Amino acid sequence: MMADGYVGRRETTTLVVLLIIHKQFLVYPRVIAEENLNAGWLVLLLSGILALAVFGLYAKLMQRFPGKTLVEIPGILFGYWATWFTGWFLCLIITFNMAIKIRLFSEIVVGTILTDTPIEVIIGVMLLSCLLLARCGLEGITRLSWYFFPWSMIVILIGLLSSGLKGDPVFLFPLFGPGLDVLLTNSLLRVSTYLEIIFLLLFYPFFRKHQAFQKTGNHGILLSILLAAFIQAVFSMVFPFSFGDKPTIPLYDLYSAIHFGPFFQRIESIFILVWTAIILIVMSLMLWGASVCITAGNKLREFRPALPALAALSFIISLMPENNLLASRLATEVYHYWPGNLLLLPPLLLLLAAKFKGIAPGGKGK
Amino acid sequence: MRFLLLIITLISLSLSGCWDRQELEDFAYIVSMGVDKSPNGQYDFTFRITVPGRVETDGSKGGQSPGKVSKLITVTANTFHESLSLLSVGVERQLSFDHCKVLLFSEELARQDLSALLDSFLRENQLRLTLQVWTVRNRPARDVFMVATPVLEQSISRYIESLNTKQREESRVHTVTLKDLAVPLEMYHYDVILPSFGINELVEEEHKKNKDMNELTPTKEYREHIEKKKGSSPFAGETSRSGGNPISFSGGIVFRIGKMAGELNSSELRSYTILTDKFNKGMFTFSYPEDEKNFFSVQLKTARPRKINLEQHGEKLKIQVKVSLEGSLKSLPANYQIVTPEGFENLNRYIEEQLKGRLEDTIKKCQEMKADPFFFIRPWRYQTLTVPEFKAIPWREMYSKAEIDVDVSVKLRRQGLLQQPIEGH
Repeated sequence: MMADGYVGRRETTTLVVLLIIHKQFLVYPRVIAEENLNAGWLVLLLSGILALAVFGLYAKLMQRFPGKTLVEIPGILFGYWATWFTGWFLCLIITFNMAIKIRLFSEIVVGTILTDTPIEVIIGVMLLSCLLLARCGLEGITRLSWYFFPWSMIVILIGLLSSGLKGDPVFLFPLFGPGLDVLLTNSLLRVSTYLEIIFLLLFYPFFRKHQAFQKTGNHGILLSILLAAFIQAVFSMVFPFSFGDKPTIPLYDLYSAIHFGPFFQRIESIFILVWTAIILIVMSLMLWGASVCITAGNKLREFRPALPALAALSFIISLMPENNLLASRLATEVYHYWPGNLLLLPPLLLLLAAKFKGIAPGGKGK
Repeated sequence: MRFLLLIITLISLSLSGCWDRQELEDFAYIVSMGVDKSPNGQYDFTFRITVPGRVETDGSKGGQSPGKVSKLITVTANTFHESLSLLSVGVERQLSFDHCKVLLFSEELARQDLSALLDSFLRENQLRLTLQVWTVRNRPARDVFMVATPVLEQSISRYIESLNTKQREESRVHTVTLKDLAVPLEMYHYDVILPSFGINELVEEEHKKNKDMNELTPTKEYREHIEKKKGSSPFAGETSRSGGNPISFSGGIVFRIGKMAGELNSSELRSYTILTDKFNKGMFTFSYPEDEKNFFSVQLKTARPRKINLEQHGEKLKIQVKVSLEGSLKSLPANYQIVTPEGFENLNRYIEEQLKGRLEDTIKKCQEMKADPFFFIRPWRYQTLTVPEFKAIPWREMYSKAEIDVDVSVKLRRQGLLQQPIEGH
């Protein structure tokens, strides 16, 4: 594959966290609150644990194919057509996901700060920046994520703690929200909250050891679970159920409600800065991922030439939803709902196929 | 290629500012607004717009009326956004709510459902959730803007902010933001109280007769008013005061499911703050035990958070609330040698008894309104497992018939700088 070098475990862990939690800065907390009332944080915890188990199985799959990515494995098992199909399929899925998220983010920008700027300009600028960053490859993106992560966490945690002080823990109760049965069902349907773990299967050749890959995944997912559940819990403490489903941009409202006298207020402007940077890093990674898939699927050597074309495609797709609500629905009811769960299944089927074909860990028996 | 991309990105980044570029002098800053009921089901929206050039930064010019540094405009419209559209035609600059801090509703408006109005305020991206919301007692909200003459501040929002801090220190009022109003209105089994503004007619009259307020106060009319007046704990605008700002705030309006259910006076609002842990500290004056003509004052503050216990026996509910206060003695009538541990103990018991009565009366008043702004259902929120189970509790019925038992614990800790009172030998 086109692994130019290697990535560090800690750097990649920070990238995994940003990749998974970026949706919390869009509309996700509201959707989770709408569905699970005050117990959304429990759903994110439970679905996160399931995602960890799924990743455990993914790790077993990758152990059987050292130095390969998810796109190449079907080719080894079923022939070139499978690689070609997987490459194109994943590329389109990722591009579509990226386009919808960029559209959502741009809608937030238009709705809050740059109210008169045409959305096409915001999407265009965002994609141009992503293009520039994606050209640096995974190493560049992980390095940027590593430098940026501590600062982003400081801002996010200060904001959450300040908002949390204005909230009331009693609003996290009744503990089981809409009911235990509903919570368990939703936890199962929302495993796709952590859909981005598939990306780890594209990172595999960039790790020196399998153990590093496994640790990166486990730590990244675990940290994301804690962070996502914490964000949801704070949101529910400040905006209890029957109001929690109302804010269009949940975290923006959460941060703009912070007011501790004249010297500590209006901090959402700092938050938006961090927010933009997180979305930029994550979207660059998605653009890189889409490009890597199509390159591997077509057995090409260089991923960079595909980047401008994919960015242009994203631009077109991002403008397709007629309105903000439709874009929001696509993101939360397709990608991060049960249809998204279906995307988590193919790697598990590949693991079964590898076992069936007698491919042992370390690639023995290929 | 890399260089070209870099240039394109940098140019693109700078472009995004073009559409939203606004110079400071292009804005008309709305600092406060009020909403009144208008005929034909419309609303009167009153906006106070600052004239930045007239705001003096020189502290020595304090006392300038807000009317001199800002303009007042009222627009009648069906919705808030329609009013903005109409307003923008008459104002030369672009309207900005970046510095808007106060929103007033008239009492008349509070009697009808506020939900439709709140929707437009919450939907507007320029308005912040930290915007303070007040009601205006017995008069249109516009009147507050017309007569407000802060003693020191020039800016009406700064005036509200500073008085707010002062009042919070005295706990005679509690502040409510747009978020604090909107969230409980949507919640089950929980109500909200909005603080009230009132216009003191006596002071307003003084201002009309003596515009510069350079004559001596208290006036003769004020003396006559005091002689006729009975009792204390007034509603907003009824405070015994001569001179100063005609507007004052005390008391509040109780909302039940989006509509006004009743009102609390200054003392009752203070009881409400004690019962909901919103009380910080405040001065209390009581008549001396067995001698109603002599008074003593104590300053009390919250010692521990309140405790609520709900006991249900069949259909009967008993609400037990425990509040703990501590404080210091501030004034004593002459010749009362009670500054001893035993004397303090007796005073504690007496204050506890007096406060218990006040707090229970406030709860009873709210029970009659079937409104629970105290959030007494709190322990059951922890105990129920699911939301449907919690929603199904017939709380308003149970609460309105519940037996109330308030347990007040008061501990006087200090006696000030004088050990025993002046004896006057």
